[in-house]
This record gives sequence, C-alpha cells and structure tokens, in this order.
Amino acid sequence: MFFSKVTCLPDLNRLEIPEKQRVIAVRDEQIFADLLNRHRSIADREGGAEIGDYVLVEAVDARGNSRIIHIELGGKRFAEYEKALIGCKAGQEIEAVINGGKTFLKVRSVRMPIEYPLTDASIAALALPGIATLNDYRKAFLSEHGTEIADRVFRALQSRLLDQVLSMTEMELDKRDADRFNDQQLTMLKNIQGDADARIMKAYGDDGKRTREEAYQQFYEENKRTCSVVILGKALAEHDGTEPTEEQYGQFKEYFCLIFNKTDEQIEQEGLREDVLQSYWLQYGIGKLRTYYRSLVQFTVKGLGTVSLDR
Amino acid sequence: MIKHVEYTPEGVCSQKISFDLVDGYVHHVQFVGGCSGNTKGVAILAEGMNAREVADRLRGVACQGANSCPHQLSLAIEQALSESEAD
Repeated sequence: MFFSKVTCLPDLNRLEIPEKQRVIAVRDEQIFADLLNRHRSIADREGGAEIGDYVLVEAVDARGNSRIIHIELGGKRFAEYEKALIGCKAGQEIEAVINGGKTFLKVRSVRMPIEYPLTDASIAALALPGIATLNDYRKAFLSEHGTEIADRVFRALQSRLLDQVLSMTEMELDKRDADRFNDQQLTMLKNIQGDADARIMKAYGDDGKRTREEAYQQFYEENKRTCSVVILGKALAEHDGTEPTEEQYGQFKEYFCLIFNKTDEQIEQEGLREDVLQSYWLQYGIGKLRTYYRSLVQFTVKGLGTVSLDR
Repeated sequence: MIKHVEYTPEGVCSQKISFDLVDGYVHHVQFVGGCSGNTKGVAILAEGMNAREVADRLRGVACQGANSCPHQLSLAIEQALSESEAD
C-alpha cells in the first residue's frame, strides 16, 4: 500500500522540448539502406582495378608461402597490397614489397560493386504495391518505421523529460514508500546479481571516489526518483480510470514472484498487490509521456519536407 | 554477390555483429559490445578471408559455456551463406 499523494497532476502541454529534440532528420541513407543492400550487385571489371573494387589475389612470399586474400581497394586493411594492385587486371602477375619482403601477387579476379540507382524509374521497376517514386518509398518507410525512430529518440530523452514532469507534479512522497522501494531494489539486486554491494559500488562508487555510505545514498536517491515516477504513474492511471487486465496483472505478479521469491498465496496474504503493480504504473507513466512525445515529433525528409508521425 | 549482414547474437556480451559478404569473402566485420580488443582482433584477422573458412575456424570457440562472440560470428556467416544459396 502506498502512503504518498499526488495533489496536482502535471500538464504535459507545458513540457519544454527544444525543436532539435522533436524534429528528427531521416536521411536517404537510412531510408534506402535495406533496398540498396538487397539490390547491390557485383561484376567483373574489364579494365584496371580502381578504388572500391574487390581483388582476389594469390600472394606468394619469398619463402614460397602462399595465401589467398580478397582485398577491398581503399579499405585500408592491406595498405601495401592495395597500393600495388591499383590498375591491375585479372590474370596479371606482379611483384610487390610486402612487409619488407618480395611477394608475387597473382590477380585472380577484379570485381566492381554496382549500386542500385536511386531514381523514380528504378523504384517503379521494383513494382512494389503503391510505390512508384522515390517519395512514395520515403513515405512508406516513415509509415512503417516512424514510430520506432521516434521511440528511439524518446528513450535518449526520457530521463530529462521525466525530471521535467516530476518538477511539474505536486507530490507528497512519503518516506515509507521511498524506503520500501529502495529495500525492494536492494533485494532484487541480491536475488539476481548475488553480490549487491559490489554492484552498487561499481555503479555509484564513482571509481572509488565515493565512500560506501555515499554510494548507497546515491543508490537511494535514484530509487526515490523512480518511486516518484511509479507514484505519478499510479495517479495518472487512476485519473484516466485505467486498470491492468487480469492477464496483465497475472504477468506482473509472475515476474514479481520470480524476482522476490514469493508465491501467489504470499502476494495475497501479505497485501502486495500494489507492490506487484509498481511495474505497471511505471510503464503507464512513461507510456503517457511517450505518447505525448510522439504527438509532437516531426521528421525532415528529402523530397517530403517536414512531416508528422502517422497515427 | 555482395551483401551487408547485420546479426543479433545470443547468449554473449556483444549486442550486434555486422559484416559484408562479397563473393563468399568476409569484409568489415564489426562487433558492438563484447571484449573490445578480442573482437577487433577477430575482425582484423577475418578481413578478406573465405567466409566458409572463417565460419569453420570460429565454430565452437568457447567463452560463455560453449558459446562466444567468435562462435556467434560463425553462425551469422553460416546463416548469411545459406540465405544467399537460397536466393
């Protein structure tokens, strides 16, 4: 049972999210990466090898040791070989100095990568349903991946946004709730990781600059913040009249029992229903914030200008 | 055949393995996560090598039980080669 109270819910419309954090540039390299990868091809080069080509070479050193290497010219992984092979043709044999010694290079093949052209005509030729131009493809990509891209950016901003939301919330966080939540996190660490003390010192000890007491205090402060987000999530869910389904409750209960070595009967007998629902409320609160963020997000895309996330 | 491969390994420290498969040879191996020095070393040694040879050599390398980042790379290569043969 929680003792904390939320006396005023935050108004998410007052959140300050700088434009650069809600206008996401989506580049053609990202949009067409999968298509280019599927349609990239490779062919024999008629003339001499150029940067970007792949050369299959048999290298024989002065002691007669032979190895086959497939070299990307310009890849800078085999610098001396690459320098010697520029301009070489398939079937050619040359002598080079590799690692200070003479090496014979027999060029078995020279192959050049061929990128799929990005034009409206080449997109139309793919005969994809509803997609006849580059811009059609860009729109389809955003429709399919826009939410995922927005959520990725949200995850990077989540902590800062939560700090803002908490500062806008009027909450009386009861110390009993913060202490109990902290104890649960400690128990969880012990049950999962074994040596909780070592984990806390590693995560919060600041490479030995903090004392044990200071590290544990830092651990407590972080847990107190997370507990606040749980309390806020609970208040938001109650305000929205939202409760977990029996199936959802069952899943959270199973997880709680696993982590804290409890049985279903103990959950009921010890009145731990609200403890079980902490994860639900945490997810609910973050989910509300994520949904709000998604409503603000726009994408800048070549050919399309600035577009909003499809909902 | 030229193909970029991204693979999600299982049961090891690295979170992603990527590489290019060009005419059956391995290029640009990259591990995200895992032991930095070791995975960079594997990437350098695999560069330009026959993909089947890389897979054969790395299969079964043990670190986490019978699993390891190099073993996961061998699985990624085998999967990519199978998909290419099926295409």
